Amino acid sequence: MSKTDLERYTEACEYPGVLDVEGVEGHLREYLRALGVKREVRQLASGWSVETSPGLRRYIDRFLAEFTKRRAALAALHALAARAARDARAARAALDALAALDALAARDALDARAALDRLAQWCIHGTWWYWGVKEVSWLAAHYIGALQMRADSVLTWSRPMYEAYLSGCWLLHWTDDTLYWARKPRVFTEEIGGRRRLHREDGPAVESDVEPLYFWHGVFVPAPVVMQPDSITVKDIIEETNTEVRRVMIERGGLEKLRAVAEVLDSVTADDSTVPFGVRDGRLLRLNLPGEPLLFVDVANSTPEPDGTRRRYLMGVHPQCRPLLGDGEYGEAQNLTVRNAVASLYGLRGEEYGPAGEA
Amino acid sequence: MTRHRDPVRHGDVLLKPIARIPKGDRKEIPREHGRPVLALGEATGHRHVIVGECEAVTVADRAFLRMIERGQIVHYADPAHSAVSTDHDTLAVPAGAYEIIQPRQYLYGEQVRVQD
Repeated sequence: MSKTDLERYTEACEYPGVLDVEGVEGHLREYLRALGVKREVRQLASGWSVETSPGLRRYIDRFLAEFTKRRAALAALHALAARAARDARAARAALDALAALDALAARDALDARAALDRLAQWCIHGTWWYWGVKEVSWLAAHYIGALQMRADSVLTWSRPMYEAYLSGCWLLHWTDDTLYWARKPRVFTEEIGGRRRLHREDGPAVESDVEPLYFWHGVFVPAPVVMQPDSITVKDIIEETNTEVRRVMIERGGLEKLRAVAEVLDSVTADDSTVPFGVRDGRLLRLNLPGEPLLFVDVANSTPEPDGTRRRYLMGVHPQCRPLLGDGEYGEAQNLTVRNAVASLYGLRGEEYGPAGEA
Repeated sequence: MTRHRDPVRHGDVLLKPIARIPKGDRKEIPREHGRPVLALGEATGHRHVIVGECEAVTVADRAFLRMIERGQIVHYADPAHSAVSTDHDTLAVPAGAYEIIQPRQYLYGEQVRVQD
């Protein structure tokens, strides 16, 4: 492997970098030839929509047709999504798809178009940022490995992918007749512990032609958490089931609102060596909201941040601290203590919970 | 005589020592770079990964780990396993069998898997 190949790859990892549309499309056609498949190559440029992308329209129509077949199952998911997993990406996809179906059924062309575009954005972005399966940097890196291993069969397809990456290609999305691609986004990061993570305080941390994405200190969050933190309500915080997103919501605008409705039932000091580390500095809270009061345990992460502070997490607990055994099963009631509450999250009783190592 | 082992908690993964993995149809837990990924953060992209010779399987929807030799549980920040996250320190995992327990929380009368 020549050093130049690795250096060129490293330079191309600085986004957005150069964009050579003709170069990208030429290399992608070469990639298709190497794979022995036929596809049209099209860029998803800023302002794209499902309506103006026939291949994508057919892909989404088939996607929705499959969803329609499974509508009964989705109705259950919809109920769950609305109550328990509102902002989980999988549930969001289902909600978006259902919204699109509803819009189609209502024949409201404008709403339907927006919903279809939203669904297509989700399909294209998918899980790129933590799986990397559709991200071209991941595929292009195979070229470096193939050079080292002298794997000619891998070089055949990875070299054009590598060149496409150097020309500015970032994401791929396959349909039956088209290979769509998107250029590298503009990204905003901060450096923590010698590595970068996505973060921006006044806009999307990933400015992509596919969809703007918002991150707060490395956590992927809904746009209002960054742009309108004052709009975050206690209800929003409670109904957010992702503990990282919930933590950010509290930090961004929810702390005082939570304090106003919280009653401390039990607390453990930070230096109490009689309890496991993960229980220390914890509090069991009752949130006195209209309707059913809710119990939450508020605990600190066992591993401190580089600046010495500890992240705090809020998690819902059974009103009688019953261990959560899954499948709707519960253990016996326990006293309302922080230790019992933390143990119950893992399906254990307080006396069973005593990890030797915690991080 | 079996040596006593304590549970290990690594963020939202608890390894609870057990005598052995129960019998039944085993499905391998997906691996990255040959290492089983016990949990994946939806909001952060971070993953809890076992490093060391081991067997990681599900049996009847419950997850189990058998460390063939002493290994580690590591919180990687990326799919390439090139950067260890600062969120959770790396912990040792002694040899032996464990049930892998991920926390749930209780919301509006239902149990919901904790996501991060």
